[in-house]
Amino acid sequence: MLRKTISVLSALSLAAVAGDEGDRLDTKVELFRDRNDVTAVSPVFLLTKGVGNHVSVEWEGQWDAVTGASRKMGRAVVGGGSQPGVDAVSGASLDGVSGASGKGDWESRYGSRVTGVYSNQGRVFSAGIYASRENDYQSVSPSVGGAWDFAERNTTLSWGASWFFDKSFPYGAWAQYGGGPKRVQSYNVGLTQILTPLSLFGVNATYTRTTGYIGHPYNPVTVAITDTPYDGLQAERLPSSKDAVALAGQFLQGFHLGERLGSASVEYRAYEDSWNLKSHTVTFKWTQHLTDATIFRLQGRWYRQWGAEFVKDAYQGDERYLTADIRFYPFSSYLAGAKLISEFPDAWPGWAPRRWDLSYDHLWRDTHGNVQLYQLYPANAWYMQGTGRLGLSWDL
Amino acid sequence: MNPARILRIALAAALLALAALPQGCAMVHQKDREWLSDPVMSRQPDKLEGSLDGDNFPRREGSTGGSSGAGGGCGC
Repeated sequence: MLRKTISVLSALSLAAVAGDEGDRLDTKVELFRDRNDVTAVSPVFLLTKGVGNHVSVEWEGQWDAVTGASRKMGRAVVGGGSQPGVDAVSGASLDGVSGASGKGDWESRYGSRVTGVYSNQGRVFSAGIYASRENDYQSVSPSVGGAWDFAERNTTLSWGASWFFDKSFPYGAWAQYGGGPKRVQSYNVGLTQILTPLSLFGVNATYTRTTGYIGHPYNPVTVAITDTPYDGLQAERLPSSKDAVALAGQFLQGFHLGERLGSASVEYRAYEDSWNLKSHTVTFKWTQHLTDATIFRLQGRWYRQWGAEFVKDAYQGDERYLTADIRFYPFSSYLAGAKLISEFPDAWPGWAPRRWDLSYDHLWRDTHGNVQLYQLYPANAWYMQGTGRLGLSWDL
Repeated sequence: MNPARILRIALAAALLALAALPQGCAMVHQKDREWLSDPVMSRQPDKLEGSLDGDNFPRREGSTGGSSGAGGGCGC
Protein backbone atom coordinates (compact mmCIF):
# COMPACT_ATOMS: atom_id res chain seq x y z
CA MET A 1 0.00 0.00 0.00
CA LEU A 2 2.80 2.38 0.91
CA ARG A 3 4.57 1.63 -2.36
CA LYS A 4 1.32 2.28 -4.24
CA THR A 5 0.78 5.55 -2.39
CA ILE A 6 4.32 6.70 -3.08
CA SER A 7 4.00 5.83 -6.77
CA VAL A 8 0.78 7.83 -7.01
CA LEU A 9 2.45 10.78 -5.32
CA SER A 10 5.42 10.53 -7.68
CA ALA A 11 3.16 10.45 -10.72
CA LEU A 12 1.29 13.49 -9.51
CA SER A 13 4.46 15.43 -8.85
CA LEU A 14 5.79 14.61 -12.33
CA ALA A 15 2.51 15.88 -13.78
CA ALA A 16 3.12 19.17 -12.06
CA VAL A 17 4.74 20.98 -14.95
CA ALA A 18 1.63 21.32 -17.13
CA GLY A 19 -0.75 22.60 -14.45
CA ASP A 20 -2.76 25.83 -14.18
CA GLU A 21 -2.10 28.64 -11.76
CA GLY A 22 -3.58 27.76 -8.37
CA ASP A 23 -3.24 24.02 -8.89
CA ARG A 24 -1.20 22.42 -6.16
CA LEU A 25 -0.27 19.21 -4.45
CA ASP A 26 0.07 19.13 -0.67
CA THR A 27 1.51 16.14 1.12
CA LYS A 28 2.09 15.41 4.75
CA VAL A 29 3.41 12.51 6.82
CA GLU A 30 2.25 12.18 10.41
CA LEU A 31 4.19 10.16 12.95
CA PHE A 32 2.50 9.32 16.23
CA ARG A 33 3.82 7.57 19.32
CA ASP A 34 2.39 7.21 22.79
CA ARG A 35 3.58 6.16 26.21
CA ASN A 36 2.30 2.62 25.63
CA ASP A 37 4.62 2.29 22.60
CA VAL A 38 1.80 2.52 20.10
CA THR A 39 3.18 3.90 16.84
CA ALA A 40 1.24 5.23 13.87
CA VAL A 41 2.43 6.38 10.46
CA SER A 42 -0.04 8.36 8.36
CA PRO A 43 0.90 9.74 4.93
CA VAL A 44 -1.76 11.95 3.32
CA PHE A 45 -2.01 14.07 0.19
CA LEU A 46 -4.36 16.68 -1.23
CA LEU A 47 -4.43 17.44 -4.95
CA THR A 48 -6.24 20.63 -6.00
CA LYS A 49 -6.91 21.11 -9.69
CA GLY A 50 -8.86 23.89 -11.40
CA VAL A 51 -11.44 22.98 -14.03
CA GLY A 52 -12.50 26.11 -15.88
CA ASN A 53 -12.86 29.51 -14.25
CA HIS A 54 -15.14 28.68 -11.33
CA VAL A 55 -14.76 24.98 -10.60
CA SER A 56 -12.01 23.07 -8.86
CA VAL A 57 -11.66 19.45 -7.82
CA GLU A 58 -9.93 18.29 -4.66
CA TRP A 59 -8.74 14.74 -4.15
CA GLU A 60 -7.47 13.74 -0.74
CA GLY A 61 -5.93 10.39 0.11
CA GLN A 62 -5.13 9.03 3.56
CA TRP A 63 -3.31 5.99 4.78
CA ASP A 64 -2.91 5.10 8.42
CA ALA A 65 -0.89 2.23 9.86
CA VAL A 66 -0.99 1.60 13.60
CA THR A 67 1.06 -0.79 15.63
CA GLY A 68 2.23 -1.02 19.20
CA ALA A 69 2.24 -2.71 22.51
CA SER A 70 -0.63 -1.20 24.44
CA ARG A 71 -3.05 -3.83 23.22
CA LYS A 72 -0.67 -6.46 24.60
CA MET A 73 -0.22 -4.65 27.89
CA GLY A 74 -3.87 -4.02 28.56
CA ARG A 75 -5.16 -6.35 31.20
CA ALA A 76 -1.78 -8.00 31.59
CA VAL A 77 -0.61 -4.84 33.29
CA VAL A 78 -3.45 -4.77 35.76
CA GLY A 79 -3.30 -8.39 36.75
CA GLY A 80 -3.56 -10.73 33.83
CA GLY A 81 -6.61 -12.50 32.51
CA SER A 82 -7.09 -14.73 29.56
CA GLN A 83 -7.66 -11.90 27.08
CA PRO A 84 -4.44 -9.88 27.01
CA GLY A 85 -4.87 -8.41 23.56
CA VAL A 86 -7.41 -5.70 24.21
CA ASP A 87 -6.86 -2.12 23.26
CA ALA A 88 -8.95 0.95 22.72
CA VAL A 89 -6.49 3.80 23.07
CA SER A 90 -4.40 3.51 19.97
CA GLY A 91 -7.10 3.86 17.38
CA ALA A 92 -6.16 0.44 16.07
CA SER A 93 -8.66 -2.34 16.20
CA LEU A 94 -7.79 -5.63 17.74
CA ASP A 95 -6.06 -8.39 15.90
CA GLY A 96 -4.25 -10.30 18.55
CA VAL A 97 -7.01 -11.94 20.59
CA SER A 98 -8.26 -14.40 18.04
CA GLY A 99 -5.76 -13.80 15.27
CA ALA A 100 -8.73 -14.04 12.95
CA SER A 101 -7.62 -11.35 10.56
CA GLY A 102 -4.22 -12.91 9.99
CA LYS A 103 -2.76 -9.44 9.40
CA GLY A 104 -0.08 -9.49 12.04
CA ASP A 105 0.28 -7.05 14.90
CA TRP A 106 -0.44 -3.86 12.99
CA GLU A 107 -3.46 -2.52 11.21
CA SER A 108 -3.96 -0.16 8.30
CA ARG A 109 -6.78 2.16 7.41
CA TYR A 110 -7.05 3.96 4.11
CA GLY A 111 -9.47 6.60 2.97
CA SER A 112 -10.11 8.92 0.07
CA ARG A 113 -12.17 12.06 -0.36
CA VAL A 114 -13.14 13.70 -3.66
CA THR A 115 -14.75 17.14 -3.57
CA GLY A 116 -15.97 19.43 -6.31
CA VAL A 117 -16.03 23.15 -5.50
CA TYR A 118 -17.90 25.86 -7.42
CA SER A 119 -16.90 29.43 -6.56
CA ASN A 120 -18.17 32.62 -8.16
CA GLN A 121 -18.40 36.18 -6.81
CA GLY A 122 -18.50 35.30 -3.16
CA ARG A 123 -20.70 32.24 -3.52
CA VAL A 124 -19.20 28.82 -2.89
CA PHE A 125 -20.86 25.44 -3.21
CA SER A 126 -19.14 22.12 -2.68
CA ALA A 127 -20.13 18.48 -2.85
CA GLY A 128 -17.99 15.48 -2.09
CA ILE A 129 -17.78 11.89 -1.04
CA TYR A 130 -15.46 10.20 1.43
CA ALA A 131 -14.81 6.51 1.89
CA SER A 132 -12.51 4.67 4.27
CA ARG A 133 -11.78 1.06 4.95
CA GLU A 134 -9.94 -0.89 7.62
CA ASN A 135 -9.85 -4.60 8.37
CA ASP A 136 -13.08 -4.65 10.34
CA TYR A 137 -14.75 -1.32 9.52
CA GLN A 138 -15.88 0.67 6.54
CA SER A 139 -17.33 4.15 6.13
CA VAL A 140 -18.91 5.99 3.21
CA SER A 141 -19.89 9.63 3.56
CA PRO A 142 -21.40 12.06 1.06
CA SER A 143 -21.30 15.71 2.03
CA VAL A 144 -22.38 19.13 0.76
CA GLY A 145 -21.46 22.62 1.86
CA GLY A 146 -21.51 26.23 0.91
CA ALA A 147 -20.54 29.77 1.81
CA TRP A 148 -21.96 33.19 1.02
CA ASP A 149 -20.04 36.43 1.31
CA PHE A 150 -22.00 39.65 1.76
CA ALA A 151 -21.67 43.15 3.21
CA GLU A 152 -18.77 43.84 0.81
CA ARG A 153 -17.37 40.46 1.79
CA ASN A 154 -16.96 41.45 5.42
CA THR A 155 -19.30 38.67 6.46
CA THR A 156 -19.27 35.03 5.42
CA LEU A 157 -22.13 32.69 6.19
CA SER A 158 -21.25 29.02 5.75
CA TRP A 159 -23.10 25.75 6.10
CA GLY A 160 -22.41 22.06 5.69
CA ALA A 161 -24.05 18.67 5.96
CA SER A 162 -22.60 15.18 5.92
CA TRP A 163 -24.02 11.70 6.23
CA PHE A 164 -21.97 8.67 7.26
CA PHE A 165 -22.96 5.13 6.33
CA ASP A 166 -20.67 2.98 8.45
CA LYS A 167 -20.46 -0.71 9.16
CA SER A 168 -18.49 -2.61 11.78
CA PHE A 169 -17.73 -6.31 11.27
CA PRO A 170 -15.58 -7.52 14.19
CA TYR A 171 -12.99 -10.26 13.95
CA GLY A 172 -13.83 -13.88 14.63
CA ALA A 173 -15.67 -14.64 17.85
CA TRP A 174 -15.88 -10.94 18.70
CA ALA A 175 -18.68 -10.63 16.16
CA GLN A 176 -21.11 -12.20 18.64
CA TYR A 177 -20.55 -9.26 21.03
CA GLY A 178 -21.16 -6.42 18.63
CA GLY A 179 -20.98 -5.03 15.13
CA GLY A 180 -23.43 -3.83 12.53
CA PRO A 181 -24.36 -0.61 10.76
CA LYS A 182 -24.01 2.88 12.15
CA ARG A 183 -25.51 6.05 10.69
CA VAL A 184 -24.25 9.55 11.43
CA GLN A 185 -25.80 12.75 10.15
CA SER A 186 -24.15 16.06 10.90
CA TYR A 187 -25.26 19.61 10.09
CA ASN A 188 -23.38 22.82 10.77
CA VAL A 189 -23.76 26.53 10.20
CA GLY A 190 -21.08 29.15 10.73
CA LEU A 191 -20.45 32.85 10.45
CA THR A 192 -17.16 34.72 10.06
CA GLN A 193 -17.08 38.48 10.54
CA ILE A 194 -14.23 40.86 9.74
CA LEU A 195 -14.08 43.48 12.49
CA THR A 196 -11.08 45.63 11.56
CA PRO A 197 -8.14 45.32 9.13
CA LEU A 198 -6.44 43.29 11.87
CA SER A 199 -9.21 41.34 13.59
CA LEU A 200 -12.03 38.93 12.91
CA PHE A 201 -14.17 36.43 14.71
CA GLY A 202 -16.21 33.37 13.83
CA VAL A 203 -18.93 31.25 15.38
CA ASN A 204 -20.08 27.77 14.44
CA ALA A 205 -22.87 25.45 15.56
CA THR A 206 -23.03 21.73 14.80
CA TYR A 207 -25.76 19.17 15.39
CA THR A 208 -24.93 15.48 15.04
CA ARG A 209 -27.21 12.47 15.36
CA THR A 210 -25.78 8.96 15.57
CA THR A 211 -27.83 5.77 15.43
CA GLY A 212 -27.11 2.07 15.19
CA TYR A 213 -24.12 0.24 16.63
CA ILE A 214 -22.14 2.88 18.52
CA GLY A 215 -18.85 1.86 20.09
CA HIS A 216 -16.98 -1.36 19.45
CA PRO A 217 -16.75 -4.90 20.86
CA TYR A 218 -13.01 -5.03 21.64
CA ASN A 219 -13.32 -3.20 24.92
CA PRO A 220 -15.03 -5.60 27.36
CA VAL A 221 -16.07 -4.26 30.74
CA THR A 222 -14.86 -5.65 34.05
CA VAL A 223 -17.88 -6.57 36.20
CA ALA A 224 -18.39 -7.97 39.70
CA ILE A 225 -20.28 -11.01 38.43
CA THR A 226 -17.67 -13.66 37.62
CA ASP A 227 -19.81 -16.36 36.02
CA THR A 228 -19.54 -14.79 32.58
CA PRO A 229 -17.97 -16.51 29.58
CA TYR A 230 -14.77 -14.52 30.15
CA ASP A 231 -14.50 -14.60 33.92
CA GLY A 232 -15.78 -11.23 35.01
CA LEU A 233 -15.86 -9.54 31.60
CA GLN A 234 -18.96 -8.44 29.73
CA ALA A 235 -19.41 -6.88 26.31
CA GLU A 236 -19.97 -3.14 26.17
CA ARG A 237 -23.64 -2.09 26.06
CA LEU A 238 -24.48 1.41 24.79
CA PRO A 239 -27.67 3.23 23.77
CA SER A 240 -28.50 2.88 20.09
CA SER A 241 -28.79 6.61 19.44
CA LYS A 242 -27.08 9.84 20.43
CA ASP A 243 -27.84 13.49 19.71
CA ALA A 244 -25.05 16.02 20.12
CA VAL A 245 -24.71 19.78 19.85
CA ALA A 246 -21.42 21.69 19.68
CA LEU A 247 -20.95 25.46 19.71
CA ALA A 248 -17.62 27.12 18.92
CA GLY A 249 -16.37 30.69 18.79
CA GLN A 250 -12.99 32.06 17.71
CA PHE A 251 -11.48 35.52 17.93
CA LEU A 252 -8.32 36.38 16.03
CA GLN A 253 -6.31 39.58 16.51
CA GLY A 254 -3.38 40.60 14.31
CA PHE A 255 -0.44 42.75 15.40
CA HIS A 256 3.03 43.76 14.32
CA LEU A 257 6.27 42.84 16.06
CA GLY A 258 8.60 45.31 14.45
CA GLU A 259 7.66 45.06 10.77
CA ARG A 260 6.55 41.45 10.98
CA LEU A 261 2.86 40.57 11.03
CA GLY A 262 1.64 38.11 13.63
CA SER A 263 -1.66 37.05 15.16
CA ALA A 264 -3.06 35.66 18.38
CA SER A 265 -6.26 33.65 18.43
CA VAL A 266 -8.41 32.03 21.08
CA GLU A 267 -11.10 29.46 20.38
CA TYR A 268 -13.67 28.03 22.76
CA ARG A 269 -15.79 24.98 22.02
CA ALA A 270 -18.63 23.53 24.10
CA TYR A 271 -20.14 20.10 23.49
CA GLU A 272 -23.10 18.29 25.03
CA ASP A 273 -24.95 15.17 24.01
CA SER A 274 -28.01 13.13 24.95
CA TRP A 275 -25.86 10.80 27.09
CA ASN A 276 -25.17 13.84 29.30
CA LEU A 277 -21.54 13.86 28.24
CA LYS A 278 -20.19 17.41 28.26
CA SER A 279 -16.85 18.85 27.24
CA HIS A 280 -15.10 22.19 26.99
CA THR A 281 -12.11 23.00 24.79
CA VAL A 282 -9.99 26.17 24.82
CA THR A 283 -7.24 26.63 22.22
CA PHE A 284 -4.69 29.46 22.02
CA LYS A 285 -2.48 30.09 18.98
CA TRP A 286 0.29 32.57 18.34
CA THR A 287 1.29 32.74 14.68
CA GLN A 288 4.20 34.98 13.69
CA HIS A 289 6.13 35.90 10.56
CA LEU A 290 9.85 35.42 11.24
CA THR A 291 10.68 36.49 7.67
CA ASP A 292 8.48 37.19 4.64
CA ALA A 293 8.50 33.49 3.79
CA THR A 294 8.83 31.84 7.20
CA ILE A 295 6.05 31.54 9.78
CA PHE A 296 6.27 30.17 13.31
CA ARG A 297 3.29 29.00 15.35
CA LEU A 298 2.90 28.09 19.01
CA GLN A 299 -0.32 26.56 20.30
CA GLY A 300 -1.76 25.40 23.59
CA ARG A 301 -4.99 23.51 24.17
CA TRP A 302 -6.97 22.58 27.28
CA TYR A 303 -9.69 19.96 27.17
CA ARG A 304 -12.04 18.83 29.94
CA GLN A 305 -14.60 16.09 29.55
CA TRP A 306 -17.35 15.00 31.94
CA GLY A 307 -18.44 11.41 31.39
CA ALA A 308 -21.64 9.95 30.07
CA GLU A 309 -24.37 9.42 32.68
CA PHE A 310 -23.93 5.63 32.71
CA VAL A 311 -20.16 5.41 33.23
CA LYS A 312 -19.02 3.95 36.57
CA ASP A 313 -15.78 3.08 38.29
CA ALA A 314 -17.16 -0.40 39.06
CA TYR A 315 -20.01 -2.25 37.37
CA GLN A 316 -22.04 -5.08 38.89
CA GLY A 317 -22.91 -6.51 35.47
CA ASP A 318 -26.69 -6.10 35.60
CA GLU A 319 -26.72 -2.46 34.43
CA ARG A 320 -28.63 -1.55 31.28
CA TYR A 321 -25.60 0.26 29.82
CA LEU A 322 -21.94 -0.29 30.63
CA THR A 323 -18.69 0.69 28.98
CA ALA A 324 -14.94 0.85 29.56
CA ASP A 325 -14.32 3.13 26.61
CA ILE A 326 -12.20 6.14 27.57
CA ARG A 327 -14.12 8.29 25.09
CA PHE A 328 -17.12 8.24 27.42
CA TYR A 329 -15.25 8.75 30.74
CA PRO A 330 -14.17 11.97 32.47
CA PHE A 331 -10.65 13.17 31.81
CA SER A 332 -8.58 16.27 31.16
CA SER A 333 -5.90 16.78 28.55
CA TYR A 334 -3.32 19.44 27.81
CA LEU A 335 -1.58 19.98 24.49
CA ALA A 336 1.42 22.13 23.59
CA GLY A 337 2.77 22.37 20.08
CA ALA A 338 4.98 24.25 17.68
CA LYS A 339 5.02 24.54 13.89
CA LEU A 340 7.40 26.05 11.36
CA ILE A 341 6.32 26.86 7.78
CA SER A 342 8.63 28.11 5.05
CA GLU A 343 9.43 28.12 1.33
CA PHE A 344 12.21 26.62 -0.73
CA PRO A 345 14.42 28.96 -2.81
CA ASP A 346 12.85 30.42 -5.96
CA ALA A 347 15.85 29.16 -7.91
CA TRP A 348 14.78 25.55 -7.44
CA PRO A 349 13.45 23.83 -10.60
CA GLY A 350 9.71 23.73 -11.25
CA TRP A 351 9.29 20.07 -10.35
CA ALA A 352 10.72 20.62 -6.88
CA PRO A 353 8.48 21.34 -3.87
CA ARG A 354 7.77 25.01 -3.13
CA ARG A 355 6.88 24.94 0.57
CA TRP A 356 7.51 22.83 3.64
CA ASP A 357 6.21 22.66 7.16
CA LEU A 358 7.27 20.83 10.30
CA SER A 359 5.29 20.50 13.51
CA TYR A 360 5.20 18.66 16.82
CA ASP A 361 2.37 18.46 19.35
CA HIS A 362 2.69 16.85 22.78
CA LEU A 363 -0.39 15.79 24.71
CA TRP A 364 -0.75 14.93 28.39
CA ARG A 365 -3.91 13.24 29.63
CA ASP A 366 -5.08 13.00 33.22
CA THR A 367 -7.72 10.29 33.76
CA HIS A 368 -8.17 11.36 37.37
CA GLY A 369 -7.15 7.96 38.73
CA ASN A 370 -9.79 5.94 36.92
CA VAL A 371 -8.58 2.32 36.87
CA GLN A 372 -11.57 1.06 34.88
CA LEU A 373 -9.65 2.30 31.85
CA TYR A 374 -7.26 -0.61 32.13
CA GLN A 375 -5.53 0.09 28.87
CA LEU A 376 -3.62 2.90 30.56
CA TYR A 377 -0.89 2.52 33.12
CA PRO A 378 -3.02 1.91 36.22
CA ALA A 379 -0.43 3.12 38.70
CA ASN A 380 -0.12 6.45 36.99
CA ALA A 381 -3.17 8.00 35.40
CA TRP A 382 -1.04 10.44 33.46
CA TYR A 383 -0.57 9.43 29.89
CA MET A 384 1.42 11.10 27.09
CA GLN A 385 1.52 11.03 23.34
CA GLY A 386 3.41 12.94 20.66
CA THR A 387 2.53 13.74 17.06
CA GLY A 388 5.05 15.03 14.51
CA ARG A 389 4.20 16.09 10.97
CA LEU A 390 6.32 16.92 7.93
CA GLY A 391 4.65 18.55 4.94
CA LEU A 392 5.76 19.34 1.38
CA SER A 393 3.78 21.31 -1.20
CA TRP A 394 4.13 21.67 -4.94
CA ASP A 395 2.68 24.32 -7.25
CA LEU A 396 1.41 22.51 -10.33
CA MET B 1 -30.30 16.05 26.72
CA ASN B 2 -33.82 16.09 25.32
CA PRO B 3 -34.92 17.53 21.95
CA ALA B 4 -36.34 20.67 23.60
CA ARG B 5 -32.92 21.43 25.09
CA ILE B 6 -31.26 20.83 21.73
CA LEU B 7 -33.76 23.23 20.17
CA ARG B 8 -33.04 25.88 22.83
CA ILE B 9 -29.30 25.60 22.24
CA ALA B 10 -29.81 25.82 18.47
CA LEU B 11 -32.00 28.91 18.91
CA ALA B 12 -29.40 30.48 21.17
CA ALA B 13 -26.75 29.83 18.53
CA ALA B 14 -28.95 31.36 15.84
CA LEU B 15 -29.56 34.46 17.97
CA LEU B 16 -25.83 34.73 18.64
CA ALA B 17 -25.14 34.56 14.91
CA LEU B 18 -27.80 37.17 14.17
CA ALA B 19 -26.38 39.44 16.84
CA ALA B 20 -23.02 39.08 15.19
CA LEU B 21 -24.25 40.30 11.84
CA PRO B 22 -22.40 43.32 10.63
CA GLN B 23 -24.85 46.13 11.33
CA GLY B 24 -22.74 47.37 14.20
CA CYS B 25 -19.36 46.57 12.68
CA ALA B 26 -17.17 49.00 10.79
CA MET B 27 -16.89 48.04 7.11
CA VAL B 28 -13.38 47.03 6.05
CA HIS B 29 -12.96 47.78 2.37
CA GLN B 30 -11.18 45.49 -0.07
CA LYS B 31 -8.16 47.80 -0.35
CA ASP B 32 -7.62 47.59 3.42
CA ARG B 33 -7.41 43.82 3.58
CA GLU B 34 -3.75 43.26 2.81
CA TRP B 35 -3.05 42.01 6.32
CA LEU B 36 -6.24 39.92 6.45
CA SER B 37 -5.14 38.02 3.36
CA ASP B 38 -1.89 36.95 5.01
CA PRO B 39 -1.72 33.27 6.09
CA VAL B 40 -1.14 34.24 9.73
CA MET B 41 -4.63 35.84 9.74
CA SER B 42 -6.40 32.74 8.41
CA ARG B 43 -8.66 30.70 10.71
CA GLN B 44 -7.58 27.40 9.08
CA PRO B 45 -4.71 27.92 6.63
CA ASP B 46 -3.67 24.26 6.25
CA LYS B 47 -6.37 21.92 4.89
CA LEU B 48 -4.37 18.75 5.40
CA GLU B 49 -3.63 19.70 8.98
CA GLY B 50 -7.35 20.24 9.52
CA SER B 51 -8.11 16.87 7.99
CA LEU B 52 -5.59 15.05 10.20
CA ASP B 53 -6.83 16.93 13.26
CA GLY B 54 -10.40 15.93 12.46
CA ASP B 55 -9.80 12.30 11.50
CA ASN B 56 -6.93 11.11 13.69
CA PHE B 57 -6.60 13.35 16.73
CA PRO B 58 -9.96 12.67 18.49
CA ARG B 59 -9.56 8.89 18.54
CA ARG B 60 -5.95 9.11 19.69
CA GLU B 61 -6.84 11.52 22.42
CA GLY B 62 -9.91 9.43 23.21
CA SER B 63 -12.17 12.46 23.38
CA THR B 64 -15.83 13.03 22.56
CA GLY B 65 -16.64 16.49 21.33
CA GLY B 66 -13.16 17.93 21.45
CA SER B 67 -12.82 18.59 17.75
CA SER B 68 -14.92 19.34 14.71
CA GLY B 69 -14.60 15.85 13.24
CA ALA B 70 -18.14 14.87 12.31
CA GLY B 71 -18.21 11.23 13.12
CA GLY B 72 -17.31 8.38 10.80
CA GLY B 73 -15.16 5.54 12.08
CA CYS B 74 -15.32 3.44 15.21
CA GLY B 75 -12.18 4.66 16.95
CA CYS B 76 -11.25 1.07 17.60
